[in-house]
Amino acid sequence: MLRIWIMALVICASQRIKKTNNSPRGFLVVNLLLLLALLLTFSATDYLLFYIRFERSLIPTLILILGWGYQPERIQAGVYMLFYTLFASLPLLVSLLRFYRLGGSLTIGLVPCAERSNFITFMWYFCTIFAFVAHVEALVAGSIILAGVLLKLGGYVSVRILGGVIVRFICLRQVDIKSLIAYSSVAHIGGDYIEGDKRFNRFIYLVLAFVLSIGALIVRPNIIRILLGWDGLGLVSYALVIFYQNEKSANAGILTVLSNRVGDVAILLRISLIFIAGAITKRAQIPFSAWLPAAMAAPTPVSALVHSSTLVTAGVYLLIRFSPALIGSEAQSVLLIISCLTIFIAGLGANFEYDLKKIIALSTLSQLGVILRILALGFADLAFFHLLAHALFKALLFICAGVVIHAVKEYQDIRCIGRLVFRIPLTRTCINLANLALCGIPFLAGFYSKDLILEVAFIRNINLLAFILYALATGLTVCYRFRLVYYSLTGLFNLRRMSQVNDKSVVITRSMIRLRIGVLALALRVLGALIGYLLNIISVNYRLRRLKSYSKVVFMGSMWFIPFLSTFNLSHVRLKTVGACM
Amino acid sequence: MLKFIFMNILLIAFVKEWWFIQISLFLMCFIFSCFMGHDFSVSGLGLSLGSDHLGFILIMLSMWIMALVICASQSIKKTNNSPSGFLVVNLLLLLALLLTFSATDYLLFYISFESSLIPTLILILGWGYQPERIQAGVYMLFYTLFASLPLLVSLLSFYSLGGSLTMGLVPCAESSNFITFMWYFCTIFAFVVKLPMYLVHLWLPKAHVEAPVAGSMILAGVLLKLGGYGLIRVLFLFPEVNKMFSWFWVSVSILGGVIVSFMCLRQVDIKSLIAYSSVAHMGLVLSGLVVFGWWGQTGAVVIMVGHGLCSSGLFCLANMVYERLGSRSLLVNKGLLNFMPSLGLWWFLLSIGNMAAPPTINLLGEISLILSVVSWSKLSMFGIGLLSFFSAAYTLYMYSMSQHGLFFNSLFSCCSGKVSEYLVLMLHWLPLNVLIVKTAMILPSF
Repeated sequence: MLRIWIMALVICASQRIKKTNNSPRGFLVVNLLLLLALLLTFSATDYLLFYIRFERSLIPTLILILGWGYQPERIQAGVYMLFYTLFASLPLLVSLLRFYRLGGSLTIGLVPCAERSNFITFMWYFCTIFAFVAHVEALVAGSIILAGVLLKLGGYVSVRILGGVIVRFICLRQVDIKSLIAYSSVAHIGGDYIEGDKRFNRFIYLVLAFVLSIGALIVRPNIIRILLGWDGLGLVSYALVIFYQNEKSANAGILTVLSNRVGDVAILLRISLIFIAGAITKRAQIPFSAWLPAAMAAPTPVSALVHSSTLVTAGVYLLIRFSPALIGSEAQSVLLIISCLTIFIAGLGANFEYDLKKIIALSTLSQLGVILRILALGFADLAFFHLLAHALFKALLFICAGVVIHAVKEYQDIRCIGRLVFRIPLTRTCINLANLALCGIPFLAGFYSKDLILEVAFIRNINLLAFILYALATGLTVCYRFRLVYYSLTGLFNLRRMSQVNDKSVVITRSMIRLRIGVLALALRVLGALIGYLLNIISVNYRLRRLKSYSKVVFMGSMWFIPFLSTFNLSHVRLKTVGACM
Repeated sequence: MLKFIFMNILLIAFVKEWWFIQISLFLMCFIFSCFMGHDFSVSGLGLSLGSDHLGFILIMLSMWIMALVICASQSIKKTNNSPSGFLVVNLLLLLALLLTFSATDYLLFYISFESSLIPTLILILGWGYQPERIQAGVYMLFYTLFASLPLLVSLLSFYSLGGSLTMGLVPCAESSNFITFMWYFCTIFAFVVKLPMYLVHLWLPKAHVEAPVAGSMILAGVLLKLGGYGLIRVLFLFPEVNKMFSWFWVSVSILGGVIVSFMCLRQVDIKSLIAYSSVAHMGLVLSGLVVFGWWGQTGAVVIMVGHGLCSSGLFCLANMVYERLGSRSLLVNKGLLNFMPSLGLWWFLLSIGNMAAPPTINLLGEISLILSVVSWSKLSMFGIGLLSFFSAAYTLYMYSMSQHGLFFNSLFSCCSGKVSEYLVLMLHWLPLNVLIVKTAMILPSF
């Protein structure tokens, strides 16, 4: 469904070729061939057949790039794409043949599972994964198809093959793929962003170490080994946060790592109830939520990586992994309350914040609250679904925020960066898409997951207070999102311009057109959107009103003083001591 | 064992050649490592010497640390600050340590245990930096001597009770009357001071701060482990009494560890910060030992090895900075990352090793100790949680204060790191992180 749709879009978008008469017929033929290859790929029931068609879809893509590209560099790009993918997919062939020898069949579903996690399986696993990583790398070519469908091919294969390799961890392993994909984009962007800095190598090493520890966290089904990745995440993120040499980042780093250390200690103590507390801190839930906005002192690609796709999801990952232990325990209701409060407070805080990155961080907080909440209601799979969707659009948001901040020369205050739609339309488009996806506008990724979560929550028998908080918070989310839209752009979408970053929302919208529109949820969103947009128009005209209620604004805008409550005493005593010494 | 002892003694004849001693120590370490017998038997038996696996681990540690000490003290040779005398003292110290860890007789153990004090004292007095080193030396001598003379009495009464002082043949003190209490305290107090436990730790920061880098490294690396080793050897002689008093040791050491962690957060002297952090770690070791569990005992040994490598490496780093900036104060040692970036990596790696980050063996040890102590009493979770949390806090405080921020303005010029320094640090860090792959090497079974 998706690929036919994309193909139609492609052909629409390529009207120019017809106009300039740049052999339109050949173009159509190639496109149709590509479509055919893709259709065959997705309908293959045999891994070998699948492999052949998978590879075959490369050829039309190559022709497309070489024949109708714009610049001489397209040759290089084509070669890049071809060799990257071919180089990576030959090991895939080997691995498939090994499967054949092992099980005597390559029909999907009949292939025996490689249950043992010995070294060979490990290699094997990486052989198969590598193909998809390469697809991400192949983004150099930058065509719509590649972004829209071929990448998805990678995801598709990962689902199929990983399903074969390790049945039990299929969905959890997917996180790995996602973070790998997110990582490669982050590394690309990060390369641009921080280029020219003398400490570039250190930065890249740190990012690599980060990814390594994610890997360690995910591939180990053992709590002590999970600790390995977990601790690594905390420490490397600390090193990333203090990457810039100033006092602010040092403070933020210490705050980050110590909040996370609470979780480490809790895991160390390994008592089930406290263990849950461990997951809470990493996930930046309410008593421990101060570190996440603070950690925004890090370079932007880092905040993208750290906050959206991985670090915070590490906590959710653990909770999902251990969700069977959660069901029915008392911790469930505690989690429910905590999560509702988090969503609400983070939403409220984001509405009063002027720092672009902090707004995004706070929205991450509230989204994680959503995830935790559905988990507390006992739907781990929904939580996981939203986790994936959220990882992708939030990474997109952060990357775009990095581009914006870079473009306006390091201003992070959203009041300084309005009307960007005329200058960087592409980025704005992406931000808009991610924004809308986050709000849960229909047919974008966030819609499917968030709407489902909302509906499930509403039909459950839950506490009235929790319900009200939740409903309010959903409105608030849209409110601050549209506030961002108001401040930074008021213009039209530019849907014809799809881009490398853009593909992400497409990747995630692939899933499931099986949900209904929740009427209540939708109404809330419309209301929230209106309020967010209108109120902020008003607030520009009546700025002084705001000063009158300054204390309230500060109270609500600073997450109910949580950052102060959790750090004030420490720094106060410390400062006084140093003052006495001086 | 005699061959290693002779090798050690003969090396004293070659102290004119610094490089020869250095290489020979590594060679000795290598040869000794070939004698690893795991838990099969006691190796090198004879003349009331011999080492089981526990002894082997600690002898290996002391040889390794001693070789690294010689590497790290190059500046003594460069400034010609009587290098031969320095080597003699170090080799004598190694000899005492070898004898202590390989003694199969309690009296020999006691004598060599005490004799290790003298070279340490000479090291501090002879090569220390400030006039206060005299006071530090006196502190160290009297604290440990005061506690260990009762040990001699207690050992002699064991001899009169059972007629032998060979380890394993000494009868246990089964009864639990007042006399046995006294006896118990006399016996283990020497080791508790040596460890050191909170309340009797005052000599340690002083000695560390005043000692030259060699003294600090060997103190943190091996001498503190003498206390743990001694406890392992004598605790099982008092099964009943120890069971009645373990609550006392556990609470003092865990809560003391928390208090010491707070004190670490207030330090401005890098060396005394590291020294105080050893007190916190050793508190965990003590509590693991006195609860009398298999997990606790093995965990204690693992922490002893891990902490030996890690804090010795940190002292080494502190000294490298001291050699360049001439100060140990955290107010002066700021922003080191700016002009010593590669050394900054080692700071980070060793710091996180100190806070028991994976994959160091410190983490392994800490997990087993925590398991053992928590299963002994759930209440201790509170203290252990705080201890573990604050260990991260002060370690990162040290890292962040020293590496981050604006560097000291009146700095003239300095070298940003030499290969030999990196080598020393790498030889600290590598076993710390690699041994976790083969933990059987450092997990003795009792």
